[in-house]
Amino acid sequence: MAVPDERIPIYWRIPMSGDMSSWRNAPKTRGDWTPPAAGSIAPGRRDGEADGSSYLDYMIEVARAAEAAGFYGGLLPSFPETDDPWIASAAIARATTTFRFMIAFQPGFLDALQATRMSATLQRLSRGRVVYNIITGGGGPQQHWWGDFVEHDARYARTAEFLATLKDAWPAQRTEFPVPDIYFSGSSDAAIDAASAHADYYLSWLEHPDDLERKFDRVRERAAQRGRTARFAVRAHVIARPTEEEAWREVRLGWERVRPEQIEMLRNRKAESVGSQRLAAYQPGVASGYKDLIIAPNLWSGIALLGDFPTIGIVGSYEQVADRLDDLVRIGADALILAGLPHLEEALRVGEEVLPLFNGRAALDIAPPRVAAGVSSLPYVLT
Amino acid sequence: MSAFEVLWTLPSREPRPQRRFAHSVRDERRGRFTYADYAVQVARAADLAGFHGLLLPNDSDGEEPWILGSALARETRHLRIIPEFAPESASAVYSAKLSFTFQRFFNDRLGWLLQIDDVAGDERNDRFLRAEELLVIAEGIWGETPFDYAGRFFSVAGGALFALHPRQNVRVDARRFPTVYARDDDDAALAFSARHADVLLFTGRDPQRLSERIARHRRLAAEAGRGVRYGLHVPVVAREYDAEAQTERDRLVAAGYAFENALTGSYANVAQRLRAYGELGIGTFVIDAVPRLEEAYRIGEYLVPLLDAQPLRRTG
Repeated sequence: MAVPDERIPIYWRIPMSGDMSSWRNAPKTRGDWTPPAAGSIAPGRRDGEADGSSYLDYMIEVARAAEAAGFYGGLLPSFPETDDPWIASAAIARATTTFRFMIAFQPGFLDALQATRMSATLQRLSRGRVVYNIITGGGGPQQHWWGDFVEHDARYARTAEFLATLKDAWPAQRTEFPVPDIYFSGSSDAAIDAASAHADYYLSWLEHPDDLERKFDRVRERAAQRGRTARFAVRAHVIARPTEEEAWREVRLGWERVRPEQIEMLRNRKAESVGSQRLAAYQPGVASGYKDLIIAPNLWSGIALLGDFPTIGIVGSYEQVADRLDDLVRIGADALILAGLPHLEEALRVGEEVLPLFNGRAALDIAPPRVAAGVSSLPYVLT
Repeated sequence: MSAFEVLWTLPSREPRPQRRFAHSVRDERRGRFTYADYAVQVARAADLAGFHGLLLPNDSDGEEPWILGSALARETRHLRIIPEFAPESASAVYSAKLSFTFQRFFNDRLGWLLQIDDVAGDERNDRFLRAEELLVIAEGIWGETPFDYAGRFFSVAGGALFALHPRQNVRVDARRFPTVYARDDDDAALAFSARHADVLLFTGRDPQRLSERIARHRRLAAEAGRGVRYGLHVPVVAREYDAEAQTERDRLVAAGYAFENALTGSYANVAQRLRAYGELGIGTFVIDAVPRLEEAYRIGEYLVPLLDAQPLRRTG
């Protein structure tokens, strides 16, 4: 039995720009981020009239479900096409009790002192439930959309300076709460260098475990050079069902609406982001079926084809998903960020069915389970 | 409520001197009752008492107004929430992004109070230039058409808040741009607010200067093809009788509150004084009174209804 301070914090994702009702259906039917369609649940309008609620109400329900299901907190991502996590967290804080807010933000967009003050106020307001997901930006037109014209490596230097300033300014805030834990994303050398200096957790999207292990090694090595110990977090979508067959059936039904050009686009994505380049490499040039995207037992690299999500997810029975999460702990994960569709009901399902089977640190003392028969691991090349 | 816009003021840190509740009702557990809890009570009182908005001054030793404002907005229904912030606190796009989410979540209830530091000369001109660039970009991206701007302080390329996802052609409902409040009445401030503010707030109450500044500002705004409304900060101590109000004012001053120049008197007399400012062109009152919760009810119940006793020409 793991002792409490060795627990692996498991976060759930809060959908920041609407939610889909399932993996099978493409349009977001929850929230007002897409035009209303038959079956839309779009808080804010009823019979064409404003009804006094807003998408925030749905986000609060997801946060409460995740809190009730035993998640440590939630990741609130930030993109041009999402609501803002600072405003959302402040509003959700008073509607929850223990739920932590992992706020995604790019240091370049806020003055460091302003971010310090916002954080200190939110720490007091939430009684210490703020966590950072520091992102440094994917570059390209999206970076210009944000009004940021700083080049890739200089952005990481800026991030490092920002975090140093924030930590220096924290004591003057006179709060009993500490600087929020820093989850740091980025796969390039510049990112890993900045992470080694400031990250509490180095956060990566799910990749093939062998690649992830190598990536963690690089970070661990760089952190050790600075005399720091690296900790790791992995972010993954999960499709967990009572049986493996049912889980893959979700994938197959979702796959039916994927167009070939989407696969092509994902494969050929010319991103400045090194993380995106790594994920694109998992896409086969041609896929004749969803099975071509299985990169390892229970790991499927087509999640990005079913919605605006990272590429690789875990698909399987409750036991298998829990086993794969244990695998992540074995290769070094100290924290996990999970998600599923729809975020509200799946928070409850994963909390009730998968988390109780997850061994956490105890997995380190248990021999890895034999992988399920009949699921082939395809050869893949990471370029 | 009133032909006037009446706003309530909530400082962003513990009132001084601290409220002293009886030991029996104080929760001694550390951190159990925070300033945010008190702020929520004040905001709800102002909401229920019918005030139009709540101004959250930015005090570097106090709570940060965007975060506090979002929490207060969630707990109120009607109040316009007006955080004060400095244009340099975030990129122009990020200030607009925070605002867009706020408008989406809270039904268009956001106001901006722009904080321009009181610095001298060129530096002050730079502050206004930065504020101007903030407004140009925020208004520019507040739509569906990609907007480009390269300024000295802020830039953007292809920004558009309502057409957020070209790949999916996603478009969200339009939201109102925040109501922009500006303050200060020196020439640089007037020039800026004539072009970009919806409401210009004065602090000085000298009627002659007010008249002169408002007349000058109206000309500047007209040149920019705009109409701007005018507001006044007023500390108020109002009671049923003049003598009661004066006694209370003296107590507040003795306790350390800067209420020496508060508008003090019976409800009827204070209302009459405020209506006189209305004749000068003031349409917004930012009322400052303590204790914040109790006075929100008192002023909402006794004073505000008297503002319309003699119907006024609505200004701006």
